[in-house]
Amino acid sequence: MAEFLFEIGFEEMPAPWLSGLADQLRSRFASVAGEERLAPSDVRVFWTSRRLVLVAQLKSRQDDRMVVEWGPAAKIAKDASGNWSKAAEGFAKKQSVSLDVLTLSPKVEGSADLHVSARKHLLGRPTPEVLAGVLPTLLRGFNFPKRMNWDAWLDDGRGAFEFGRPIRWMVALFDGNVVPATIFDCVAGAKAGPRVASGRRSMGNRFYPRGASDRGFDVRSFAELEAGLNARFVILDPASRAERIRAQVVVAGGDPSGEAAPLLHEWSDLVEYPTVVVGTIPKEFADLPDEVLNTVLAHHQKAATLPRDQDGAPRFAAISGVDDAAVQNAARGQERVIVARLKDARFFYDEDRKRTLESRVDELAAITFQKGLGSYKDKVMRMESVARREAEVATLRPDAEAWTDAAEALRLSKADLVTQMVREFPELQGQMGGIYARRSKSPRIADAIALHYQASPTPTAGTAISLVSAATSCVDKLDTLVGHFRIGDAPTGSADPYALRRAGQGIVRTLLELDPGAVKLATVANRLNDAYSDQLGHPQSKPEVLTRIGEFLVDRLRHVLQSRGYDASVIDAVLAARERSSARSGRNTALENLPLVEHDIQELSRLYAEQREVFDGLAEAFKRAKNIVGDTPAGVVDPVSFVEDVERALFAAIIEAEGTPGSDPAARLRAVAALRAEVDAFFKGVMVNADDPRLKANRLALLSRLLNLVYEVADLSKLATPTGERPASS
Amino acid sequence: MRLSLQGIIAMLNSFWEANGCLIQLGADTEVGAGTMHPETFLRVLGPDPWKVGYVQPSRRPTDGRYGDNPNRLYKHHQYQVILKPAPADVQDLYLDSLRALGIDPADHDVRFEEDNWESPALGAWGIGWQVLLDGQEITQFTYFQQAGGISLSPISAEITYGLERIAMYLQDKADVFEVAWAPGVSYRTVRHEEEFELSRYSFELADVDLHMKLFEGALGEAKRLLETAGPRVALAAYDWVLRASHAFNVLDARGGISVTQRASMLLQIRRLACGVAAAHVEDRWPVKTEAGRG
Repeated sequence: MAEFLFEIGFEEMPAPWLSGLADQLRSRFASVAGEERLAPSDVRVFWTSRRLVLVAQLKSRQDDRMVVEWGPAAKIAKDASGNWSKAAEGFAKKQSVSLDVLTLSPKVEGSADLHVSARKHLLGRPTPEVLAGVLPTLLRGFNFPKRMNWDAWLDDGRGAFEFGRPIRWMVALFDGNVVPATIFDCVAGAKAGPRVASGRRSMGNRFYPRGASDRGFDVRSFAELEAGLNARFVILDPASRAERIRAQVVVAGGDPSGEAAPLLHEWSDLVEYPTVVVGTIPKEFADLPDEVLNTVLAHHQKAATLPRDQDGAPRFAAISGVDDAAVQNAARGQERVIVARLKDARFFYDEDRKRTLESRVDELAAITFQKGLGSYKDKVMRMESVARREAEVATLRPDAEAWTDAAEALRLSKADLVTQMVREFPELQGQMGGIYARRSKSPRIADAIALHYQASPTPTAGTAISLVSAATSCVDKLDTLVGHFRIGDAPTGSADPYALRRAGQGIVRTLLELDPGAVKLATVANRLNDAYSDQLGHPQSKPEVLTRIGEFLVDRLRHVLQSRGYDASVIDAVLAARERSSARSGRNTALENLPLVEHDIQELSRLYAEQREVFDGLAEAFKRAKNIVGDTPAGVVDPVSFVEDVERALFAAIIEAEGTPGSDPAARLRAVAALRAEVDAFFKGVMVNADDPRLKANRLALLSRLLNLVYEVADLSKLATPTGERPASS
Repeated sequence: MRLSLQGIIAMLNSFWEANGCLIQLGADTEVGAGTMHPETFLRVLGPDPWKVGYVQPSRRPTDGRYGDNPNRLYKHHQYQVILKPAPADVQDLYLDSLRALGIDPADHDVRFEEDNWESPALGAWGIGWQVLLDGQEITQFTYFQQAGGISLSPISAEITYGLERIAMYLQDKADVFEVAWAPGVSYRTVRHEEEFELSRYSFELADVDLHMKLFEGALGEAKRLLETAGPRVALAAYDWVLRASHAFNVLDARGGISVTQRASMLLQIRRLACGVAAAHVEDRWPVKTEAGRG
């Protein structure tokens, strides 16, 4: 075994691509080197913004191997007298083997159709020779989110060679010796002179150490590369860069695992030698809303908010690639850029506050919500009227008040789209509306506006969601769904240009936190649908839209529940029961009470975990029962007609279980779990499809009654594994 | 050493002249960026090498702020460099130009951060970075991939310096109007009145109907040239495309364009820009057809 080292040096690659590119390099190398019988082991990859590095242990030559080459069929390979024919001789010559190693055998085992073949012993080639062929494959093998033409050519038969950014150097060494590889210029679509050739020369940091006349250095091994880079202000290992950043953020008084964690992660691939700089924002900006400060910091300068200093001045941390001597310049520069941005923000904020949100609603008429669905003014009017209607019909006084507030919030919800602040910082939409609304409206209304774009309008983790916020968010999202479904824009496959799935998940997440019935989805959707028809002058009310949205939301519910970690088969079991009752009632019962759905799933998950074997057995039995019963209308069980003891025992047990309250899913499920023995005995001892029709009908009725026992909670047959499927028989 | 704005221009001219560039003048019709200058848009097409540097006054009516905003301008100035084909050491060359301006990259945080440039109106896009100097974007650095809808070969490197930004940095000014244009002469003295009057015009006074007619007339003329005037009209037609583009920008600032109108107007400009590029390539590098080939 010996070490293979490969470094691709390039101009700054986009930071978000790097870890993915490194993964591609590692897996491609492992598979190619494996196919080449080099027995790769200890394959590791590292990266910075300017390089990808792979190091691995390889055999110093390929293993030898035996191959069988196939030639012509027997009747061509042998002449009339049974000697090798000219054709066979030609084959032997082509394969460089003597005639006496040729044999006749079937290509496919057992076939009578014989062909001539030659077994050849192939010597393994030395690894450097093999690697020279592998390098172009590795270079060509990357998938970039976006590639560029950089006038390069690769001699691998495919010619023009695009990459993520121009390649500037390559180190390729096996056991300390250079593995040759060359990238050529491409001129007028043809190969020209060499451009980048592999060698042993790597490059250090662009700027440090200061004063170095040559940034390059020669290496013989990975250890030398790593040490050389360390001495030249390049931290090759992304984990070490992340650690350095974390430590410096802690020194600056920040919390590296808090909200800033994703940002810090992003920082670690931006520069080869990360240095955290800390800046202070002048106090004149201290009264700007936190949302504005954080947006300017995070979105525009990729800076993280730090705790304020003792005078209350906001502080921030930003990433840089400088040495200690340049930290001051870097920090001052960041402050300058941030202050310029905040000055803009200050100006827009002051200007915007000269007018009320209310006075901006009419201007929304000039902004298209969606082609074919009118303006944002139309949208807010539609949503407000629906919420007002909900307030009128609410039976409880607090609910009526909440819906009245939601109606206010909905009317104002989009008004910030025409403020200067949101034009300048679009990511603040909603939040700015909330901030401006707080000046004249109640906090409940302001919060509802501020939160209504969010996936789930919960103010902060652990706080309860208000009905005003929930209603505002759900009505807005539902209005968007209804509109897009009306014009045939429902998501298909991976295409979801209007992020409708996300909207659906938002509705589901909100309703899972809310008292059932507080937001009546079906009613609200129906009213929105009618409001669209009225507004747009559409004659037909398109009721089919509502059914499809119901199905869509149940599908989103399934997705949300899965993302919460519930077993897919448990979710299926509970949702299948809801689907059944929906089909009976004509209402979408899953959506009428989402917390109950999740509660049932929790109960079933818990019991399933505790009594896995019992439920697996029941699942099979229920599946069988379902298949047997099919669509047969359930008759009445006649206890007198039973002939077998096991029938009587099962019926008695069912009656017992029916005594548990159906409203307590856990009790019901537990009771059903207790039926396991009787159910098994029944299927073992009884033929349901008996010749006597009366007997058969009675048994079918018994099975229906068994199924009905838990249908309100779950369709247990869904727990059955597909491999456990048995044909429907009795 | 703290260079004035005109000192920066003189230094960049010297630097790029010494590195083999022709020093050109800015486009003489209104443009929004140095990229729109024929010295860039048309020179990056075709196989011929080209190296050029020039200052481009760039008008962006929607960015006008009546001279009130310390960072936003109706008209700013770009120093534009085209290196075709892009040399292997183009990033180092660029860093050397910063050193010439008195910015030692080792003393500052100089970063090449992903930023791919795209101009839908010109059917052009490229791969590259914004160059950040201590967090401030001072340059757009682009490897052109397409112009006028035509895939390019060889690839040009485009370096676009934001002159006001660099001057503000070098002179340590938070307000562009406090920058020294020349020693003792402020940016305010040179430009403030123009900022005010042109902002006022774009936002309050510009005649929408007239500009709509100018837009349509300019595009109509470009179209007429391309479709009926035979070869060797691309440069003239391109001038008209630029005029249409400026009329569009004024209308945009004046609020005279609806969202759908906007998309369709951009598309019309793009079609003609692509037509110009195709006509120019056909004029300059006609595809030789070999007679008698069967």
